[in-house]
Amino acid sequence: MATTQISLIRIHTEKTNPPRALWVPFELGRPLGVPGDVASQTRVLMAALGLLDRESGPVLIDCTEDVPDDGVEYDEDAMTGMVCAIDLPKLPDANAPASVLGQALLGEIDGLAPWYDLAVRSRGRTTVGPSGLEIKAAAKFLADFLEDQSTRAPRDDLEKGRVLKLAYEDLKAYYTESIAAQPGYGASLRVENWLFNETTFGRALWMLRDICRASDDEYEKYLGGNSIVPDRQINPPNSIKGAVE
Amino acid sequence: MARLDTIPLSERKMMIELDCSGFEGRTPFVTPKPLSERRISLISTAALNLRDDAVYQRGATDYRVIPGDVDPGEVVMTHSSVNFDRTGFQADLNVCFPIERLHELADGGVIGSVADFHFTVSGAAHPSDLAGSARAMARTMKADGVDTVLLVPI
Repeated sequence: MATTQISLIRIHTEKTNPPRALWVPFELGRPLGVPGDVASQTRVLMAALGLLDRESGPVLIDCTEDVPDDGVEYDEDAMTGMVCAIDLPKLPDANAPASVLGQALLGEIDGLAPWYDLAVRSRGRTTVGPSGLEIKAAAKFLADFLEDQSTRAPRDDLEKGRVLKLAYEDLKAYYTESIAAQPGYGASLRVENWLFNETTFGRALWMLRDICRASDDEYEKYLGGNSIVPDRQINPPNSIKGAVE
Repeated sequence: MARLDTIPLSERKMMIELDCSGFEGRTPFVTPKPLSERRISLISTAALNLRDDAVYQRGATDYRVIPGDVDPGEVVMTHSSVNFDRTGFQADLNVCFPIERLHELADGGVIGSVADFHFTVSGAAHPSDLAGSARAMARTMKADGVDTVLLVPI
């Protein structure tokens, strides 16, 4: 069978040297480029499939398709400066205990509900659901865990850490699908900045990261290491000097 | 963009140092045939699965099957990494799994046909640990008459 592929990290493709590859300049998670842009996606796809006509290889070419600059910077203002038009309950104090955070989280979910429903209607689908929990049950498990790490998982067919991961990823999807129904939230970084810096849920995730990093449980320690908060929220790229070319 | 200088240093270091054992001078290359005669299957490393499938576990080396006539609403993602965008996938499955784009090309006669079966793995595993899954996927593809595979990263 012939293969052709899309490449996101060019250096990896240079090293593996596959038969045919098209490097694209898109962000990780969007190998075809722009969501909903059928024409652009088709051009990218055709560029990758076009490599199948080559008589010999390996071949690695650069895609000429690009996406508009989303205008979101990694600086501190951009991380905190967005004003969300959704009227959410006031954020708890920075040092609020987990119990207060848990209650506020449930209120926040209620505040987002109309926008989540609108997003689902508009898109005809949702990606919330892998945890198998209702969204408030997922939030309650997260809140209970923040308060007491010995709390039982709401399902017993998976490791507790895995259930926790699925629960907070479902919550992330609920939040990010909801905010996407608002104008001005097409860029992934803008959505992410809002989630991790402007919401009670984001505050809960930072707290969860701290708890998991300090945990003796191997799975929880793994989650705290790199599976809760994205690296670009922890170490924004432009704040780091000495970029590797 | 996925240019290295836009990626946080910790992630960037991992990407640069990642073991990328490749074909090492023995890159296989299949004789071309017209695109309009090709039957194409997708393999994605996005850890996509159908809503009722078992979720991917940490370090998973198994695979999931996505039927060619899948309803995008049935596809969810259970990848372990938080260091790639998921909002694009939430808005449009095709941004990481271009199944509808392939069907459009088939309907227009640009490609021969779309396979009945497509596949996903979790890209968090080392490729060599996915060899068993790769062989199983290839067997199904051959039985389905597939002659071309589009590999899509996340």
